[in-house]
Amino acid sequence: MNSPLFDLLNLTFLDIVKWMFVVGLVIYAVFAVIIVRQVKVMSEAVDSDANSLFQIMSWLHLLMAVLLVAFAIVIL
Amino acid sequence: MPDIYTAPSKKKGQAETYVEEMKDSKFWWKEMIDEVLKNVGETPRSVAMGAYNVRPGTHFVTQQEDEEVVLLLRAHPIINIPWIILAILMFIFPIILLNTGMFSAVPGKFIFMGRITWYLMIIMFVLEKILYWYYSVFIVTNERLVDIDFYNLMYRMVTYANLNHIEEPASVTGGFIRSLFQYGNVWVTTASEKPTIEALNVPYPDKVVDIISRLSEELEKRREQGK
Repeated sequence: MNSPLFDLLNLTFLDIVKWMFVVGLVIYAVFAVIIVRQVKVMSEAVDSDANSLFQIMSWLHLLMAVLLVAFAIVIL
Repeated sequence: MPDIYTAPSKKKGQAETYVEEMKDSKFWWKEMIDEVLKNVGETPRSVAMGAYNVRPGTHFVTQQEDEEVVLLLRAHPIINIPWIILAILMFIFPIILLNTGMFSAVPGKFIFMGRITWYLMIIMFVLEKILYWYYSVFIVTNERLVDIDFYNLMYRMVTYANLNHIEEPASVTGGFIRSLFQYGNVWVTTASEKPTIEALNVPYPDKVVDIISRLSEELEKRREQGK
């Protein structure tokens, strides 16, 4: 933690943890996008009354993941 | 020239009339399905939380014009209990962990974000499990069997077996829970590349096998009649 690099970038340990958190959440958001896509594929494979419900749930999940990335950047 | 033989006039029986009517009917498959379900004692219905659906009126991706879904099967809902229990345990895990005082030195905002992230991951886990259960289906139509299995979010396997190519459907129900809740496995041997097509943990496997056998027989009769 006394590295000149950290002094140069004015980084603390918690800043590193924060950005690791953000990177992890971005990867998680990518998975949420994949879930949305796969729900669409699944809905096309089998016609069902619950298809629209699952699509809404997957989009809400993606929205939460994206919001969480924003929260992580702002709050942490 | 005298007649050597004159065939006696024969009154058509009910079975012959039915077969001829079936051959000529535009919606022959509907009548065939009606007959099979009537003989089995089934009516269009949905039980076991959508795990056993008779003539649900739904469609699937490669369904043909003269094809109708007779049975739409999913695994019995009871097999979801293990992951539901796990999700509940995952939900209360942060509460227990925080009460131990292990994270007392961690800033509150990190704990807050950690908890929110954990709960979002639980939502993803639950959503994933529900999707696997709901969309992994075994479909019986008047022409073929369709087995759609989702192994994970990015891997799906769809297996088809024509009812004309199947042999020896079999059902297995074993164990206390399976006997109590009347679910089991159905295996159908086929003459295609994939030798066996299976429907695991489906409700009323005996009825499923019965319906598959009868549909196969009807198709065989129809083929022998030249249709």
